[in-house]
Amino acid sequence: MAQFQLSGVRKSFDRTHVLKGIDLHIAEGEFISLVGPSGCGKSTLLRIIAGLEDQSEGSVRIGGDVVDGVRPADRNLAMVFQSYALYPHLTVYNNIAVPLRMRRLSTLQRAAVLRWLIPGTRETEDRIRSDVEDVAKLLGLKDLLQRKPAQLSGGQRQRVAVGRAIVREPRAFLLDEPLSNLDAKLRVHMRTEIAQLHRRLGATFIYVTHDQAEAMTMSDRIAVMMDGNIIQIGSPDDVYDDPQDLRVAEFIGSPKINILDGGVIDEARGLVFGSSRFAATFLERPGTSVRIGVRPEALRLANAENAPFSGRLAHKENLGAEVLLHVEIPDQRAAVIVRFDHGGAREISIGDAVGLTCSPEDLRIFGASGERIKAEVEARKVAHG
Amino acid sequence: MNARICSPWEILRHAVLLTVAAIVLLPFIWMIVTSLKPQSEIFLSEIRWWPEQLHVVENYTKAFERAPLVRYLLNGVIVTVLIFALQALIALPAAYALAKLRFWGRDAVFAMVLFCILIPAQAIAVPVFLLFHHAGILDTYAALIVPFTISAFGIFLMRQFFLTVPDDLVDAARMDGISEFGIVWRVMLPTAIPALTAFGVFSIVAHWNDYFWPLIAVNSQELFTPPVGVATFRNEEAGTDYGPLMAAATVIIAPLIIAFLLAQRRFIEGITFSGMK
Amino acid sequence: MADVALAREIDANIAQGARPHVRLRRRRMMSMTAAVLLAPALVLMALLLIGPVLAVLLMSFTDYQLGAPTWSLVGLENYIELYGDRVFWTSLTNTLLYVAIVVPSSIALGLGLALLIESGSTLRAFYRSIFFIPVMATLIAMAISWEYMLHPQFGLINLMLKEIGLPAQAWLSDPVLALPTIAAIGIWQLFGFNMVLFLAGIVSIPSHLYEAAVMDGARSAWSRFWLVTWPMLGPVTVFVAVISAIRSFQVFDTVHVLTKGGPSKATEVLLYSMYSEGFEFFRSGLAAAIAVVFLCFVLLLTIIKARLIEKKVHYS
Repeated sequence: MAQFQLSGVRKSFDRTHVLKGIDLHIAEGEFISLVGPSGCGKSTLLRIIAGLEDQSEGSVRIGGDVVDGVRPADRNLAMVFQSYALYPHLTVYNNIAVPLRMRRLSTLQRAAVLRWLIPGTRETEDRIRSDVEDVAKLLGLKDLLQRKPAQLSGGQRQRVAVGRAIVREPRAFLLDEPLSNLDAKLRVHMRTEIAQLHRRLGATFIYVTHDQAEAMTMSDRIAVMMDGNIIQIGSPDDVYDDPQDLRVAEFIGSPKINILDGGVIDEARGLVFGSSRFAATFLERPGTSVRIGVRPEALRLANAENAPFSGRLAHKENLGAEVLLHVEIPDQRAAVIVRFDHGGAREISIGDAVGLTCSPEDLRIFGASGERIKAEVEARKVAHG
Repeated sequence: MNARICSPWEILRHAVLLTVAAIVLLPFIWMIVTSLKPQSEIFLSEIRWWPEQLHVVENYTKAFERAPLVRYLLNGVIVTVLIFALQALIALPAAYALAKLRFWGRDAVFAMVLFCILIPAQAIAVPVFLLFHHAGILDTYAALIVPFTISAFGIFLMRQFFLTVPDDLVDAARMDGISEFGIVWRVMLPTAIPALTAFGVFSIVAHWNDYFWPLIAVNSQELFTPPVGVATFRNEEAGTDYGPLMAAATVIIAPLIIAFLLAQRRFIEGITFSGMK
Repeated sequence: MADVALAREIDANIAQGARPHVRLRRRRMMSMTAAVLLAPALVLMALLLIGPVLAVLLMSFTDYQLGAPTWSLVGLENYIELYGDRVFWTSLTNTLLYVAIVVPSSIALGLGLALLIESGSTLRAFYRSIFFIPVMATLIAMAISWEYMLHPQFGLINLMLKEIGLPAQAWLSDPVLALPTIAAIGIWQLFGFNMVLFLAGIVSIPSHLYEAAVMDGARSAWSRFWLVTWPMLGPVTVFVAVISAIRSFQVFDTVHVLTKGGPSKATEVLLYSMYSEGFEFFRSGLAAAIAVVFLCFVLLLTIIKARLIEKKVHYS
């Protein structure tokens, strides 16, 4: 078990800067997710931590020791790969045993011929056997030990990959999109399994994913990465409720946060968007255009006449337990999505005029370049039209 | 199914294919039939599809007595197996480096490999012959084997295969503590068995059948490979005694044909897959 | 974020000097590993392929003779000698003629049989294997069998011609017939290989294309062949043609065993000329010049093929 300290980590390939100065501290036993769209550098960062890739600048410390230039195998980290990376020619048992054999047996003892003649081989192999069997029991792989990877289902392969990682009790686990090759149902199930595994082992988990739902459901902390930078780091609740950047707000949460165009009005120092005006205490200069984010579940239906904003129901997405209403609001680029419980939206039909309201504390205001603006918005609607 | 086989088209198809098959097999059939005939039945002015008098034992005994056929076959095995083993030993690490390692000059090395594929062995026979002459290794097993230990095509083929092996697998092996050399033999080799088998079939068939280089490289009968051996036998017996000559030819082609009949799919895949050369 | 700042500070102190050094060492280690892995291949390539190619080029400008005490540069003399040598021109035309007979015939035969095999569902593997046997059978041994079959008096071919009332032919000793006869053996040996390549090509044509063709009104198998099969086999055919040409260019075994280039140079081919100059008369310089001519032809064909392989690899 170990804590990680990344300082000023940069990485460039030729002239493209993949990582632009990453500072990150990961506490012992923490489950941290590196999340972001593809190409944001999250996998490169993980590979640098693993030692599979060298950083161009900066340093990585594990448990207080600088590990730059230390070979991957000597960092004592375990990694679960997206493609599982199981050795196709080895049985499940041997796949899980490889890291133990590489560590506990000498080259001579691993040689195919005469290995049993070397003192200690049998004892070590016996210990390896009991360790592998323990892990197999833990992951429900006991009956599959003699199979080859090709004979396993996706979920089983995934478990073997996890087994190979946990068997040698590494200092930390690095997981690189481990669920993205599974079907949707299994993915949800494995989320729970991995989270439980983390709780049981109490080890540090560094988890890379492009799926914000995975990051939200499993992590203690989430680091959102864009274009080679960590743009926000915090607990799932923090990141969801208090996004510091428009890109974070848009990336986290499904369905996506609604973004409305608005502006700061001169005289009342109020906020305008669409055809509505709100009173607001602002630090921004009047005339600044802003973007207002509001989560789909923060919106409520209201009387179309005096609701802060109103529009027309364009589409209803029935998800069973809830309904997503797509409301087209004049002057706004995209339809606003409202999350509703199923019963409440039954009477509204497509084409109806719909009024929407929300609590002012649910509005998130962002500047033109995406930075978060602190503002207090009042509930009162100042004017109409 | 029956209806299909009996349809006029299907009957015509089989008729044509069987006729062609018969023509294709004729040299084999005639070779074997002749190897069973006594000399009196060989020099006949009529077609005799099956000998009235079987001379199997006589012809084959004579063949083995007059030419060291066992020696030729043994040489064939030694030469082809050693060539393939050395090709694999040299090509696999190189292919791994070209496919999975990043290093300065990689593209240049790969370009060199591609260029070497273009070189036909016959075109460089003269300088290689002179090189071996000055090295004093003509007329040895080394002369038969060494020129083919480097297979640029093998490197290319295995590199293309290794490119399809996920990088994750190599990284996982590094995380597990396997060295780069270990990765070649313990991780890449086992995954490459199908490609290596195909290449092996190609290599062994090509060098078992090769006539040009062994003809040049060796003089001593005890080093003859099967094709050179049987050609020499023919030159000594020319036109006089076809029975034993056909028996010898049958013996020389038998190993490959039998291996082929046992694993037809593998052979066809191997030779066409690698035979692009 | 306080710990980050702290870490940075500490880091700046220790790591500044040490890290680049470490990284350099690692990169060098990677290159070292690659060098060690590649070394045997590189050495052998230089010694046995690239060196000899350069040597053959150089030698073609010398009067080098194996065993002769001295040698000297003679410039283009070997090439001039070849240019004025009737035998060389015969050899070159014979080789080209051989290629011109074998390539189209073995392609037509290979394609026709592949289509015929795929047109039905029974005994496909059986026919495929039968037609493939000549590809792998030792050609020298089979040439000896052919020689006996072509025997003017007792050979099976002439005996069969006699049965149906046709005159016997001196297949290998008639200057007109000798090269076509050698070519026929070449076709017999090669077409099975082409057939297998065509079979693979036919199998890879998606069946829904045929279904679409039927829906579009291509009723006969003939029209479906021209609408779907032939266009889809186009690239394979080019590929097969180049490979067949390269293989045919290397004709040597049958000539060496059956005719020795005769009768009266009727079957003299490039590799045979090179062999006799280089290894029977030991005129290495002249042999090298022939080798260079041979190399040029094969390189041209192989470059076309390499282009095709690359394409094939990228798109598969």
